[in-house]
Amino acid sequence: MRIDFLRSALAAGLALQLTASQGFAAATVPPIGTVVTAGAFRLNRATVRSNGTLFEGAMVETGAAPARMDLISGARLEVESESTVRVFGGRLVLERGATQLARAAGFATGFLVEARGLTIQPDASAATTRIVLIGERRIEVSALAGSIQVFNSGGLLVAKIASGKALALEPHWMPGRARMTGRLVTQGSHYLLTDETTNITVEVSGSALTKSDLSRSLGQRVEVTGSGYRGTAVEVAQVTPAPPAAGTAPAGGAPTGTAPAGAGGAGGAASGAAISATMIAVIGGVAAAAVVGGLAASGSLGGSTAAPVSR
Amino acid sequence: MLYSRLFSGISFLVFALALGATLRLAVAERTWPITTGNTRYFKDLAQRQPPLARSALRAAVQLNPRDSAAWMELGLAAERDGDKEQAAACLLEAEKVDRQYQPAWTSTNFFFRRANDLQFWRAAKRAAAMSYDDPAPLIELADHREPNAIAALERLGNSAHLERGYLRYLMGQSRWQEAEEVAARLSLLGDAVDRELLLNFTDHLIEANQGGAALTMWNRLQQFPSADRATRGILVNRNFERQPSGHGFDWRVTQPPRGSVHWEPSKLEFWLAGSTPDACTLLEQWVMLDPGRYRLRFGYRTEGLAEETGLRWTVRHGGREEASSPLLVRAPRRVPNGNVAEWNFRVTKAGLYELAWIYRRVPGTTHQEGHAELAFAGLEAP
Repeated sequence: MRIDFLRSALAAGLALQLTASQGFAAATVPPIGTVVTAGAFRLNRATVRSNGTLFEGAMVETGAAPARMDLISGARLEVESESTVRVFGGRLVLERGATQLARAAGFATGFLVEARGLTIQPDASAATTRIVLIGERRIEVSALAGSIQVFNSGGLLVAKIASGKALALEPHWMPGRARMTGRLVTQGSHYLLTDETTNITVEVSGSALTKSDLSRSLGQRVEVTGSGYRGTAVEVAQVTPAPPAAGTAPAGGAPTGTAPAGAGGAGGAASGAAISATMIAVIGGVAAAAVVGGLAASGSLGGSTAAPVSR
Repeated sequence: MLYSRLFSGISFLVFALALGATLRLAVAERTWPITTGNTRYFKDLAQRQPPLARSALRAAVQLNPRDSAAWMELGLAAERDGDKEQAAACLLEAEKVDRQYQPAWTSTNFFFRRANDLQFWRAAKRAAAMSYDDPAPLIELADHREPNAIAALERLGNSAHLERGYLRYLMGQSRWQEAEEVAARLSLLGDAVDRELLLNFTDHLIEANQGGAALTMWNRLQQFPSADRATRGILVNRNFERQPSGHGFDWRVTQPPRGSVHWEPSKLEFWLAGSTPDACTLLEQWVMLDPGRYRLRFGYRTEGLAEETGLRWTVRHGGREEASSPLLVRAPRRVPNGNVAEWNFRVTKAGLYELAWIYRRVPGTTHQEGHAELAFAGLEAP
């Protein structure tokens, strides 16, 4: 026991001396973090066991065991088993499988995850986000803690996911078309709608619509279809009454008249016991559906049998 | 009767012993999580509860101070928490209790991140000596600290395994000059297992238009069987005595689409099918040429092909056709020794050239299936 103590003390002393020594030479390329796993993984296509050092652009492929990556930026990533990622100092590109991003509280926000052309950015520094690639096209994004913003390949905000919610997303979905569902409200002379699935608020306008068309639908839960989403407004071609969301009052039963932008939205939709098959939002070329119990609420999201965007 | 009783007694004894052993195992299993030496519980706890990781791992190493995996995990957890001294102490302890690859590799990484050169090279050398897998990750770390491959190899402790790894790594980075030096060292060993790697390296040099280096490398392969020496302006394996290897400065044979090719000593025979495309390359060889005139002498025979066979020689440089021979005329197989022909051409720049025997259907003629045979092809400066 005493020998053990002496040995440990000696090792600690040696380590202190070694880490404090002045013989350091600056690394040519600074590492960006570490990767640790219980088994083996592939680092830049070479098999590595247990742990390794990450450099900018490193490719990590996990096998049966998940891997944990701690980046100098403060981001902590769990790469699930059978996944492939490419990691950079400020972002991670998910190429296969699933990953979970968490950040040590106090670190600056800004770490991004890119997957299939979408960019996922947690809002708060302590947010925890899980991203899963499903099939050939779908991405499931869950805000386990904190909220998340999702941007399309053009940099447009296409979804805001509240804490505890999840969305199934499919990029490259009829670019240029839009389909959103929510209550039509006014703010000054502007008609606004917050999509219940994506939580995105847009100004509704359209040359094919008259003021009376919009006024008639004011306060109603409606579905708008159109085009031209540029981050703030949708050029609407058609406004139709939406069927009542399950577990909520029928549309028109209790019009609220106005509602704050960003309120309700995905949270309200996802919290319903069931979600109608029409709850697929299309915005900025991305289709979105709320996820309940790990599955997309609408079975029609995905594959070639997708529900039509406009009717 | 006596035997029967004896048998029963022995059976009872065996049964009692088996029962005792089973009970001992069951008791051991129940008490295992808290017995000295079992650290799995604490290591699992550390994985499941990251905030408790360090205390759980401390308990693990107290239970079994020879558990190098627990020391390594504790070291990495300490590093995550910013406790670099504790991390270094744990990783050094892991190396002390376990002289295998993993602790050395973990220390190599840690001291790399800490930019501690002394400890990095000590641990890296130790890891390199025990590396049995792909050494690329270790080499990548070493390369970041010492960009000169030969100097890094010296510091890691020379070994053929490392040299092979370094050669692959440098090829992947297109660092031809350093790769040449490493390949030269490797070729001196004369180990047959390196033949494919060195041939592959020669091909990479040719692809990268490093003709001089490729020629040098090719000629270093002489100690391996089936590699003729190459010199500037001379074709290798001119009589097809050896089966073309398809590497370096040897012939590269391409089977014509929907046709076939057959080699036997001193003869290469192609069969062009009726559905063979209008143009295809049959045979190629890289050759280093200086500016000047050259004469290609070759012997060939054909059967079934049209009078204007569609066969010809070309010389390419930098992906562009520099010269093209006249069409070869029909040379029936019954002619003894075939048809010996010559083609003169000139090149204006020194460098790497690709001599090719090609088939290109002559416009206005129909495609005919048949055989084309080549007996030799040699280059000379007239």
